[in-house]
Parts: sequence; C-alpha cells; structure tokens
Amino acid sequence: MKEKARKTVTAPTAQPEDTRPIDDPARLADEARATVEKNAIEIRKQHVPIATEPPTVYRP
Amino acid sequence: MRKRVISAVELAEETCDRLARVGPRYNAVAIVMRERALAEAKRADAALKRRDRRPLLGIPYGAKDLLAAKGAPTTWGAPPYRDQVIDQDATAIAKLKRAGAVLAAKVAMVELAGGGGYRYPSASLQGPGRNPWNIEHWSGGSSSGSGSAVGGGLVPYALGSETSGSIGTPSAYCGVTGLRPTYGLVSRHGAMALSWTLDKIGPMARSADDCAVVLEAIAGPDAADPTASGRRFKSLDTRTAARAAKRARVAFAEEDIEDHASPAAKRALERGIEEFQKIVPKFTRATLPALPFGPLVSTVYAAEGSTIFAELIEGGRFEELVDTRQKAGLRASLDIRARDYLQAMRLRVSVSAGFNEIFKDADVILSVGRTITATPITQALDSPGMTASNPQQTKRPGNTGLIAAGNLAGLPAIFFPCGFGTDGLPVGLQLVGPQFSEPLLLALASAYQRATDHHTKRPRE
Repeated sequence: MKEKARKTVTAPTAQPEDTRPIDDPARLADEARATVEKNAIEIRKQHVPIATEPPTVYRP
Repeated sequence: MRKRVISAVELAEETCDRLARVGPRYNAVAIVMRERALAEAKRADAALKRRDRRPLLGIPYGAKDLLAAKGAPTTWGAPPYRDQVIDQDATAIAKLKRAGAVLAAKVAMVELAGGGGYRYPSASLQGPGRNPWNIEHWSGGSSSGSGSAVGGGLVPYALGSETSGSIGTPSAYCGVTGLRPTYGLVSRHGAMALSWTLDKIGPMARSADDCAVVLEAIAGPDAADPTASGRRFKSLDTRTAARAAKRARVAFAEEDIEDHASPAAKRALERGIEEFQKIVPKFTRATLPALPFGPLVSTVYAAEGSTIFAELIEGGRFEELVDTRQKAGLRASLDIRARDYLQAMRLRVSVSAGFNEIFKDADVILSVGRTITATPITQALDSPGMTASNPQQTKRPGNTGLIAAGNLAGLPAIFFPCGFGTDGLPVGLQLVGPQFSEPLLLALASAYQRATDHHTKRPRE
C-alpha cells in the first residue's frame, strides 16, 4: 500500500507538554479531539487507486 | 442431570447462590435472575424426564448486560441506563431458551461497551471487572463479567460481544475460551448497538467444545436482524476434525512474541506456540499488510457509536457515565467527518483483500491473544505498553494488529488459554480464519485442548 500524504492533511506539530492533570476533563477533551484528527491523518495517508477500486465501500 | 444426580432446579439454585455470593468479589454480576432461572430449570427438569437430550438442557449461563432479557433491567453497564427495562429477549437469548438453557444472570460489562475509549477498568456501573486469578488485576473488557464469571467458575459459559477485542481480551486475561463469530453468523437483535458494521455476539466458555455447543444454538437466521447471514453452524465430525488438524496450514509471525510480548507473558506464549505446532505442524510465515488498523477500527466504531448515542451525548444524563475519558471520546467522535468514516470503510476492502492474500497459502492465522497479562486494576489502559495494535516503530509489527484487522474484515477468531505468565496470570493464543471458518477454528482449538490442560485450570477462591 503506497503511503502518500494528501495536500489537505496537516502534519501534527510539536506541542508543549500539557501540565494539566491527566484526568482533567478539559485536557481529555483536547486529547480526544487530537485523537480524531490523528486517526484522520493516518487514514487519509492511505492511497486507494480509483481506476481499479471495487464499486463500493466495505459492506459487512 | 441425565443420571438424576442433580436436577436442573438444584443446579440453578446453586448457580444463583454462587453468583450472588462470589459474583461481587469480581464485580462480575449485573443482576442474578433467580426467578427466571428457576422457571427455566423447572421446564428443563420436565424435559429431562422425557429423555430430552439437547446438550444445553438445564445448563445455566450468564449473558452480557448489553443483551435484552425479560425479567431484568438491561443497563448496558452504564449509569444513565440503570433502570432501563427492555421487555423482550434478544434473539441469542431466545435461541438459548429454545435450546433448554437456563439464564441465571446478566453479567457486568464496561459502560456502553467502551466505545468512547475508556481510561480505567472502573468504567462500569458494577465497578472494575476483577480477575478471578488475582482480584487486584483487571478482567479485561468490555465483556468483563462474561470473562470473570466463566473464569471464576460462576457459570459454565456466558454470552459476550465484540466490536474490537471485547471477547478476546477478557478471554485471554481470565483464562477462558472465547469465540468471536463471523459478522452476521449470530443475530444481534436485542443487543445494544455500538457499531452496526462491527458488533458480534459470541460464547465464552471453559473449552472450545463448549463454545461449539453454544454457537450451534445461537447461530442462524433471524428475520429481526437484516444483517444476519442466515448461515448456521455445525461442528466438524471427529474424523474430519482430526484430519483438519493434520492438514491445516498455519500462518504465524514470530515477532508477535519476540518483539511484543511482555516479560511476564513471553515464555508461556512461546510454550503455547510450541505445543500448538506439535498438534498442527504445518507452519508458514505470513503477516498482515501495512495498514493503520487501530485508527481504522476506532474511526469506524467511534463514528457509528457516537451517532447511535448522540441523544445521550447531547442530553442531560450524559455526565452520569463513569469514565471521563470515555465521555470526552464520545463527544469528540460526533465530529468525525463523513470523509474520514467513508475512507475507513473504503479501506476495509483493502484489509479484507490483505486477508484473502494470506488465506491463499494458509488456512488460519495464529497469534497471541494478548501480548501482556492482565493489568493492575488501577492502571490506566492508555498507559505506555498497553496497546499491542500500535507497536513502537522500532518493533516489527508482525500480526499484532490482528484483533483490529480481523474485526474490520468481519472474520471469526477463537481465543484459548495456553498457560500462565510468571506473574501467575493466564495467557492465551488466538486463531483467525476466513469468514464462516468457525468449524475449523473450533476443531483446531479443541485438538489443542485435548492435548493440554491449560483450559482446565481453575483459580483458588
């Protein structure tokens, strides 16, 4: 699987260490949103060649 | 019971007593269903008198509290639903009733099956699932009560469910045998939906043979579940099973243990593989394609789960959920973009294609159940070293993403114990096969269990 970052994907930048307690709700909210974005970046990196792609997404 | 040594009613009474007495030690029980159990046991005794030979007749069991059952609340392990009554039997429970089984308890689970990404084992209405081998360690989740109730000998089997790892992890941690069926083999009607495209219901029991008996009863068509495949399950006969064990080609990647197993688990896992190879000798090397299985599976279940629970998330009772990280995860998941969900669904085709390539040269994939033994009850589940599906880059990935990948492709898996780590906690192996390969998976695990005694070990009380 060829990995290629798309133009729309923003690479994560180094963040200063979070000094809030690890169970602080505001910190957890930030981390949860960051996880959604991180997952999106990983998923969008995966190139699917549309010329040969099956005519549907996964159907269980 | 057939020999009249004990009646079904006596067994049901003993089981309910034991669930009430010992269950709280493991936080394993949501509710003991004594009245229903005794009624079902009476019917079983009457059938036994008529020489009814159904294998589950009069046998008590527990059902994960994500399954609706008449006669008890269905809490989904979550405080906002503590008083929820769904006055119907889930199809899996109705099928077990028709098989003559006795529902003795709803067993505990992680709240909402953990779809928001919980941080602590305490993320449950019943408190942290405690491991029967050491109550200071976790039972695993989200089928926490199913694992500890079977592992602790409170019930001979239980129904669990898996979206991604929720049968596998408690099976590995509690030393029980768990079967994750092919997507669609077992109806999910009456089960809490976390992910329409990932959820499966399966048995957790003391042996592969017991799992097979239960699976035969619960598999099959159901008009109430449009995703049910309509396929049934039937075990291989003894001769075919023996031949299958000799001929089966097993894909295995040694780095699953070499690079990823914890020091406590490593030697027992290696011995388990050696034992397995003596029984099923044709090993070949194969690894999954390089795909981000963890991000894929979590994007799919988080997007589907947050949509399912959107009214809860945006309503007044959401804060009643126990785990703060899970709440944050569910809220954030409402903002997963359609683009990313659809890209994940699109890539599931690639995951399936990767498995199909492996299954050209192998019949099953063998790996560890979990690379670690059960973690301390207070340890955060997102602490370093906890996620084998996201190995550090310096390690070869091998097939450590097998749980996520297998769930993405809707494939069946069996988890079975193979010994104990140096910390005295169980470790286990898993086998994954093509869709509807449950007869082969169960035959291979059964062959292993006939040659070993790991699955017969019981914790001291």
